[in-house]
Amino acid sequence: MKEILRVENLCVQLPLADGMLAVARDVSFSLFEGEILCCVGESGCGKTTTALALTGLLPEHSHVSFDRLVFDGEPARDARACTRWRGRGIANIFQEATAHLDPLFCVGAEVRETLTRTRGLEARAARDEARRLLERVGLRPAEDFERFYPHQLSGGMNQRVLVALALACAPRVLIADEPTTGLDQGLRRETAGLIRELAREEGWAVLWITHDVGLAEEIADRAVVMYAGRIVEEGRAEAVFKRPLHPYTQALLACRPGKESTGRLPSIPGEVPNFRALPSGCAFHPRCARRLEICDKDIPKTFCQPNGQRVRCYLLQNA
Amino acid sequence: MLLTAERLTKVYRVPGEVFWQPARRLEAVKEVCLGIREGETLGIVGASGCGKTTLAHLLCHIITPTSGRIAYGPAIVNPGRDIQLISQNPYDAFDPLLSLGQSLEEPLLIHDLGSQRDARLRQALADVRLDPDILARRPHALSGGQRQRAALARALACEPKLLVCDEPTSALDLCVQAGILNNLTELKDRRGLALIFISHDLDVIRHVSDRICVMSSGIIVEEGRARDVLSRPRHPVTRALIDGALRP
Repeated sequence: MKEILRVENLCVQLPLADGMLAVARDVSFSLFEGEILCCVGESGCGKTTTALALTGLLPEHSHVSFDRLVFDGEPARDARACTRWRGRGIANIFQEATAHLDPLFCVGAEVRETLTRTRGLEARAARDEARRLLERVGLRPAEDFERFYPHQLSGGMNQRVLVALALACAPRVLIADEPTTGLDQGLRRETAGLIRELAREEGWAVLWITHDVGLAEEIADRAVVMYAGRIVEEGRAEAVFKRPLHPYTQALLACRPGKESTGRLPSIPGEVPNFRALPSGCAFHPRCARRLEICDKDIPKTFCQPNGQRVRCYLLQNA
Repeated sequence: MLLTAERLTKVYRVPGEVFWQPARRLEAVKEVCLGIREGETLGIVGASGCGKTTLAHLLCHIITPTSGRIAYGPAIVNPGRDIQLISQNPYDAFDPLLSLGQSLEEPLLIHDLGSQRDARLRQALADVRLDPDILARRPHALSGGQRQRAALARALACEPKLLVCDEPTSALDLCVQAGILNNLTELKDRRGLALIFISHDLDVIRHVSDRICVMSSGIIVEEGRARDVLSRPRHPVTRALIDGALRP
């Protein structure tokens, strides 16, 4: 399978009133053609920051550094390359689709504009192509749907319009930042199914960010788990979700109410650490039930397991 | 019975698309009958827009029913105080300009319980495992989980008999959700609290509920013991919900 995007040791610092705050550290992963990589983690663990860094959409004066960033065989010299790739190379869709569509334009006009801007189509060609794309994402008949304004469509339909906009860019990589949050379960499944289908057909490499572990389990080919700005576990989705190795992943998955659960659910003691006051060593060690002596001294490296799973934890150092 | 709802109906008038079109009638909740016993947890499930939240608001007297009535058992003296609501979004549940102390004492002052303010707030905060220091803070300084806990404390301070939870964990992370659910089950056991728990997450509903009502287009289509309804669904809507749930 072809590697489309490779990120090595990406670090992001955001500008705050009292100085720079490192929000994502040493983030490394690869995206492959036609494959969905799910990035899971609790709110405020740096998932969205990573996604925004890859599309050059971070606030001004943010600082992005990396060892290597290769998109489609082309290495980036600095973080500004991401701005160039955005759209035609790397497209994104977001949570709350309605908020990302201009309320003054009907959705057809929105798709047409993207087509003329990114592919340089003529008005008539853009109209036909826009209709084809709307039908492709399931808004049929497109002649009716193209005249609707975002407020006349439901959240699920607007999310489909965003997918059509991404399609219009004909990207290689799609970054989906919680695209199904706020939709109910039926719609969530539909939207997820649509994106997975398009990823297979178009050969998109998808980075899917979510805190919904159930959804990730269903759609992901590979998964990364983030905690306090770092990737703590990476591997094939079935391995990560069925046989998690990092204590954090294990604890997180155990929190889900299941078929047989009654009474108390296991939950992780303590709170997600504040980025301003991260614990020394492994950021998870104060909440970890199986911590070792070394855990509060050194930040663990990523240890590769025999099955290809990569885990950032000293417990798996000698495995 | 703690509370019995008899043929509750709520009709909204939705204005037409264009001003000369007549207003449409939208029956958000249609002839719903349900009862809840002391100390019981009743789960209500259904897709978005099926009337779950409208029903919650009817039961809490936030809106008045178009027809039908709610009868209370002897345990409920003052419905405004003895039935409390926790809403889905902990970010909208507090006035951003008030400190949490001011927000939390407000219902006590309204119900003339001001004299017991300190004791009740201390007890409620201890029940949800929040530090009393947060009373001096404003809501923006709290995380989503802390805010939902604070909302729970505000409801508990009134010592309700029935707590209506409208998707209390949908906006929260998994392990925060687990903490809140544990908190609710514990309180239920200790205070003998009855819960009406609304959610679209079947795993959560299965975990907390004794009985389940399945709603669709404002009607309760299936009702029964939690395990029976979810393992042997009879109504097509329930089957669709279970099949449509993400994890098989």
